[in-house]
Amino acid sequence: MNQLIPAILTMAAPLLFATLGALVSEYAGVLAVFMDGAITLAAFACIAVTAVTGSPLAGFFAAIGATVFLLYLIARFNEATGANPFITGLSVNLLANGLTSWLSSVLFGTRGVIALPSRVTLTAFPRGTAAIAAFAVTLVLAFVLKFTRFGLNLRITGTDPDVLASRGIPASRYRILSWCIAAFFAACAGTELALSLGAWVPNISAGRGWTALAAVYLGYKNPFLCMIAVFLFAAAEYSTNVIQGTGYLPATAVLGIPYILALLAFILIPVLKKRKI
Amino acid sequence: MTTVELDHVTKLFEPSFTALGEVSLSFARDEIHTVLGENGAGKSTLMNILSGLTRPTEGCVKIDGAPVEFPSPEDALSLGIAMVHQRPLLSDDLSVFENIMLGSPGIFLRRRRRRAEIAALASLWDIRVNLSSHTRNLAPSDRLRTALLAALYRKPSFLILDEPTSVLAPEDRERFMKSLVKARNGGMGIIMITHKLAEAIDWSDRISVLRRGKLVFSAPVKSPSANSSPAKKITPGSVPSPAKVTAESLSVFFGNATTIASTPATVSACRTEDRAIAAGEANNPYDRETATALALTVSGLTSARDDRLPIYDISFTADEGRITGIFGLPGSGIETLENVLSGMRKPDAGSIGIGGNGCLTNRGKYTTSLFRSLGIGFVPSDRAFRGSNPALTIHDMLIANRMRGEKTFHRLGAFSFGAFRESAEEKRFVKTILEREGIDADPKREVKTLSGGQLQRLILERELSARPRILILAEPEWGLDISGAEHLRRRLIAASKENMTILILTDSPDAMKGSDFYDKILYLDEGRLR
Amino acid sequence: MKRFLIPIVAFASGLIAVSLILAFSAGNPGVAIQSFFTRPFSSWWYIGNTLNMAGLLILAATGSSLALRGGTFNLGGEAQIYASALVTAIVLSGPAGPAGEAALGHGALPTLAIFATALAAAAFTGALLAFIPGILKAGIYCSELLSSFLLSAAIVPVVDYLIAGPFRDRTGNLIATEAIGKAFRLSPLLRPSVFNVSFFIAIGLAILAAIILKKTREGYRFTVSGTAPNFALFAGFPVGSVTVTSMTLSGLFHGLTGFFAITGTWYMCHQSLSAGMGWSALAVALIARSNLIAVIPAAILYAWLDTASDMAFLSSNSGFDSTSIVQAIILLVVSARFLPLRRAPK
Repeated sequence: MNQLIPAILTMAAPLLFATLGALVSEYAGVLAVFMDGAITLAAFACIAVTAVTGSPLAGFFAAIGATVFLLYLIARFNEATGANPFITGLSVNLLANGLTSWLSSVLFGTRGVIALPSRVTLTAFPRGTAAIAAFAVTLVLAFVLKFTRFGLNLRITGTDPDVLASRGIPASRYRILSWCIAAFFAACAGTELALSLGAWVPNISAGRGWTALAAVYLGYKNPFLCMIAVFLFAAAEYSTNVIQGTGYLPATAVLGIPYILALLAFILIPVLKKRKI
Repeated sequence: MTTVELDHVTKLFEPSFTALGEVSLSFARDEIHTVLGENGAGKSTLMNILSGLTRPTEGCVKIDGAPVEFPSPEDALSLGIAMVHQRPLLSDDLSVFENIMLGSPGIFLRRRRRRAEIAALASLWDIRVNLSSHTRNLAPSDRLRTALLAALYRKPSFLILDEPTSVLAPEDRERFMKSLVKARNGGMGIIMITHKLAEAIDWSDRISVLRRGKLVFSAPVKSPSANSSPAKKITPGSVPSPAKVTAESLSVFFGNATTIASTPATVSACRTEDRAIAAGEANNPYDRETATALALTVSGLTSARDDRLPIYDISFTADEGRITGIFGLPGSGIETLENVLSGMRKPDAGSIGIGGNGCLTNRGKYTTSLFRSLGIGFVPSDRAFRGSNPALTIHDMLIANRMRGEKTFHRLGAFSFGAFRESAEEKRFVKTILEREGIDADPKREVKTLSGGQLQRLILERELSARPRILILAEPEWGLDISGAEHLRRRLIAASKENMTILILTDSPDAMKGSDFYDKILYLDEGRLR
Repeated sequence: MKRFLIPIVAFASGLIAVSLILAFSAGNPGVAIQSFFTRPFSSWWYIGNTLNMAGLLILAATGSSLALRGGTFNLGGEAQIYASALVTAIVLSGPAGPAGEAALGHGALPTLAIFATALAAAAFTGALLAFIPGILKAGIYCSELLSSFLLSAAIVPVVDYLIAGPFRDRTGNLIATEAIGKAFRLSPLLRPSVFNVSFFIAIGLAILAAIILKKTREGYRFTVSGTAPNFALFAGFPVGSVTVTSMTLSGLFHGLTGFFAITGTWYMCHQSLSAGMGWSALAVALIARSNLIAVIPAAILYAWLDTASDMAFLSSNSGFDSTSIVQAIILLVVSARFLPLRRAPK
């Protein structure tokens, strides 16, 4: 039993990062459908650079750089052309699949698993670092949202961009920033996944980006409630792994569970919200 | 900053509407300067330019004699010009305090300190509002107060107010105006827009009048010299400016100063064409050669659940063949009443009935399609997205009433591949309407190329040509100029003479001049009918 | 002419992207790019298969366009095609499959009836998978973009599992269902490719849908409800009904695509059979600005682009998921001018 909570917390860390990123994007009025692709891309960048340079830290920075850069470009594109952010977000997922597939076959000669050589030390960070970092970042985000001007403006970027405009605040700037911040969190999630696994596999995010969206809705857009939702999801993921081990559920079908969860959250939460009024 | 002026400012809107023509006006501090004018005279455009919301097409704004440009309202604000809009733009998701703080500088919100500052400010100007309350449920008067505090918090040199007392109850108005006087005494320059003559004269230091985008009068009110020396004549050849500034002398700038040729021939020509179209619409369910007049009876209508602007127990009858008016200030619930009567919102209680046959009791069935099929026509206040849509072609927008199916659809969309469209007849119908209204527009172009006035007239025509038994109009005169409103009146009077029952919901009673226009007038106040 | 700017730019971008990637990754860029442009025309095999794929795309893109015209987004095309394909393969194999045919003898089966059943089943499957998001949107205002996408993403692994598990044809090496009976295969018209009558059926259906939309009252109500939902609601049009209908029709067309994919192209359902087709259909619909007639040339051009890049990459010995990149770029470019999401009528 002593192992249960830490195990779930460790599993929760990447999901919490992803959820925070989705939360920021949600405040800006954009559903972060790009999270899944961004996580996969970030993980790839991290592994690629770590494999070449031997430094996980370099890999982490590379992940941040690559993901933020790509999402910044797309966000600028959205603002400049008035594009539908849902579609462009989905295209990020497609790009991530294609780019990682291309780069991995060009740089590493394979489209499959890229494992880090064992000489690269991953023990630099103790086991629970990621979970603690995720928790700390949640606190920081909650503070920023409530007590800073930036947080105030961000909170209504999605719901009242015209109010912002009337005060001379460009909502587009906040939307772009929200994509960059979401990218940063995706990079954290991707790095954590990749380094703890010690390798990159195709579809490493395994639908976590979508579970993150569900957690944002379950958490009523409140950072602390989202944290609780993430914990629940992590517990669910842990038990799924256990059940998979016993062979009751077909492994491939289980892949669909994050999407079902997210779908149920999207259907039920607004309905429950309405009833409560 | 001591003076702000507009120097030969002209503003043109697409495609060819001159909102302001070479207006030069100067505002000083320590002064309450009121700008008067009718709807559409250009007052709001003037203030929008002054506060940085829009840019002039020609001319410029000058501060202390030097030209300035405002790329955004924030620039005007930082230079000391703040504006409080009639329907202030606030975020429903934030508290009153947060709305006031929005846009002010500083990284951290420093809630405690700022709350104290704002509370002090509020008591200084005698503005009572709860800083912690959620903006979502605020009454319009409190929204105004919030916006006022937000403006005052930035310590402006000039404060612009757009129809500030229109959302205040009479007993609050005097207190509000007294706060403005206090502000002026403290050195602030107050610029007020209103169409209320009496209020302007009672409280202002200087009055300027705009008419059709031009400045026609500007003079001090209270200074003794004003009554002896003649006021400035701004536009030569116009109506001579009064020597003494009183309500009577100013009223020459308002009202039916222009005469519009309304020959009976025009009116009956309309009628004949109506009948021609009606005769051609063999399959129009509304077509009744002997138009039986039907009354609209509403009883006990209530819509209060999760509504910021509720209505309670509304009961009235719009008599057959008569024009009934319901007046309600913004925020009285008139918007909700419009939504319920049109079927866009289901009421919590009460019923709506047509004719003398009693009321439709199944409230769950109150939908727009039901009302339409019963012969109710509707001209909505939201003419951009409900009455029409900017992306539709003019042709598509005009034929909507002819395209309703003869069967109502069941939930899963039972397909009946109804008749094919008769495109030649459609084109003829559209052409007739456009010609009758004198609007020279290609029906294949999109609705967004029409001006506001043109659109409103086309929407009215569309609804009238469907010959409904009951026609409900919401804010029909909004944005129309004098001739447009005249035309509207004539059409409606003609329609009521043909036994159409007309109900008008409006929030500005003095727009529809003439006490003989309405057969019955009701007042809506805080959700209840008086 | 301005109207064509975006589609042209979209295609050009896709071309440039592929060419750049080829240049960087191919062993011999010159050869790769040359085969990119010339190979698809080099023989009837290439031409026929490209046109065949175009036919499937036309069907699916008509579905996507119908959803768009009705004011909805059908993002569940992947599963709608995939699941319908599986259903088709199941109905047309087993007792109806080659083994069954051999056992029962030629002509013993009511061919037309079984064929029709498969068609109905496929259409129904696709329609159902799209109907659910449609009714969710009309009833509780749940965004159909999300629900259709998520439902599709959840169903695809299930279909994968069914193909690899209960319905797998153990006799072959490929992870696929049993092949369908020979009587149910649409005969190729342009041998050696698999080009068949489905191409013409697709064009015919697209044109039929275009006529209905433009010339009937039904069609007017449908498109106006899509373009101007508040206006349509106010005019008394059944907007909720249009929402459900547009999604369901869209799913139905995707279901037909799955059906013809099996009966005309592959004759059995293997894993990842339809992978990417749903996104390609959406890209084609967006390129064609949801115009049902424009979908036809757009689909043909897209199919050519797809085939060409496949050929080029195969010839340069670097196989990877180039289709995704092309789709992403095209989606990005066409979404630039796309009308913003319409909120549900209040």
